[in-house]
Amino acid sequence: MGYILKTYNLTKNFKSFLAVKDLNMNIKQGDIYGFLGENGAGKTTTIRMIMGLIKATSGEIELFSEKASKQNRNLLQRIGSMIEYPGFYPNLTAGENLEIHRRMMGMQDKNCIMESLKIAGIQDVKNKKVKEFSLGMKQRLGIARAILHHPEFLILDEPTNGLDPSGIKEIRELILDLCHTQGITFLISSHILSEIQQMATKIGIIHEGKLLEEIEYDELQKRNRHYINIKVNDDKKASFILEQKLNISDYVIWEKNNLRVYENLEKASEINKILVSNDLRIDELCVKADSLEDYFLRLTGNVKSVKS
Amino acid sequence: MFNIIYSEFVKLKKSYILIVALFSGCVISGTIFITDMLRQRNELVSLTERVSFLEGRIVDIDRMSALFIYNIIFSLIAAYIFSREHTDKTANTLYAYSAGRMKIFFGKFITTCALIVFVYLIQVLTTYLSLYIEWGVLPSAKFISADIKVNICSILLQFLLMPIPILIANITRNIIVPIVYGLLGDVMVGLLLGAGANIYSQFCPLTLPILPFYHYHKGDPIDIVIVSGSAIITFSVFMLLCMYHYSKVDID
Repeated sequence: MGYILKTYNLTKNFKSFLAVKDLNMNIKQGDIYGFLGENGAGKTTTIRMIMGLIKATSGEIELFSEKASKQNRNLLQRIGSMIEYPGFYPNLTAGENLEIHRRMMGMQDKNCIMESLKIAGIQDVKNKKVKEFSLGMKQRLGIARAILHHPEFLILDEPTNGLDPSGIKEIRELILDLCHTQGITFLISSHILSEIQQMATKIGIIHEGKLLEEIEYDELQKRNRHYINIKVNDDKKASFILEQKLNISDYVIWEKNNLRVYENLEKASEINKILVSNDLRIDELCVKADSLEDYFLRLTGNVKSVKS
Repeated sequence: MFNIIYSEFVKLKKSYILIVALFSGCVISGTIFITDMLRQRNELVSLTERVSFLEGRIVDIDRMSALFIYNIIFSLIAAYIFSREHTDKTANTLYAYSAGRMKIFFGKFITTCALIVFVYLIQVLTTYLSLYIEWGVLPSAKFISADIKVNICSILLQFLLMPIPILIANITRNIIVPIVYGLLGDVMVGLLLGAGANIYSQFCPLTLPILPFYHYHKGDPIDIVIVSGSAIITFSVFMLLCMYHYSKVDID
């Protein structure tokens, strides 16, 4: 399968601030690429560069195997996007806003407006002014606009912002459906890891402007470490016992009174026995695997393992 | 290009800017109509007197509109059309279309020019209509023809000045600063043209759209070299700056 997007050492400086550094991103056709990063990590800046909204300081962008440039803006017609905030003309209705988009995209078929509204589940508000919309409704309208011209590649920046839990679920199902039925490739940026975990086929983790890791989600699951999760009444005492009596050093105090032991997984019962015999109360002890959140936090250095 | 201009007009639908344009086109003629009605000028009985008075009134309305209204209103219109993408947060969508930024820029510029023509048209129509209602006569065909030509000259010179408020709006991304520019421009023009279209006022590009009224209706002399030079330099410099800024600026 061909690549929809490739970036080569993409860099963006805002005066002295380095927003994105040497970013090499690879998105294949059919991927749902989860672009993860904290607020200010460089996700939106990267997306803006891809969409030609800001000029890269250095590096190259390749879209649909062609170099993206000012002379090659036709490539943008194959992309749908919703960047940062779903902005609309508030004095116009949803239908009129989409009509502007239809014209700007050079679409002849007027029915595409109703079709996209139906897909986004807001066909009833076609004649309602956008200024009367809630943020959640605007998000849906933003998605309707992004898919109106049948793009091959959809870029959604924080698409679930402002949505209630059922709305988030619907958007997730919509993204999965569009990917599976219409073969649309997605680049979804988010800092909500649980959301990305449920849809992404590939993950890119950006931190302080650098793409730390790009990994297939299946591969990530294989790579994620297993551990014994122990909830006790005294984490300091428990860590002392782990180190002194069980000779375990690869563990983390994850939260208060919650430890994760990454070695000797087969000795869970022995660990339990020794902790109890040292007057510790065990509230939970089970073997688990790292979640995407764990992986992300470990990679971005927000959790310090005891073992160096 | 047609789709871009069409879209710009759709965006203006239901916006306050159309009401502002309509109002500014008839505010001076309306005010003069009302004050004249209140004064009851019964002394002007002969047809010649009335026609002569009418022509003077038309020239006054043209000059007053150009002096006190247009600079502010056209700055507001330009600022609204160019900066609203940032206030409505639609810039991310607009500039991500395959149409290049220059096409979008010229689409917006043409829309601004169209609104300027609209304001002039309203002003001319309401002036003639109100004076006809009040006095029951129209000026001579020769005067009307000259007045239309003068207004067309003024419109074309307004177009040449538009890159200034557009550049200010694009840099500041709001409508307040361009309006302040319009206000200051009006004050400057008022001071310069207070004593008629003298040679010094012709150096100032902001007086350009008003000069035709002084020249054709009042007979004030115009130095064509200075006026043409001022117009060409102003338009070229600010248009190039606008285009450069528009094509290079980061959309955030």
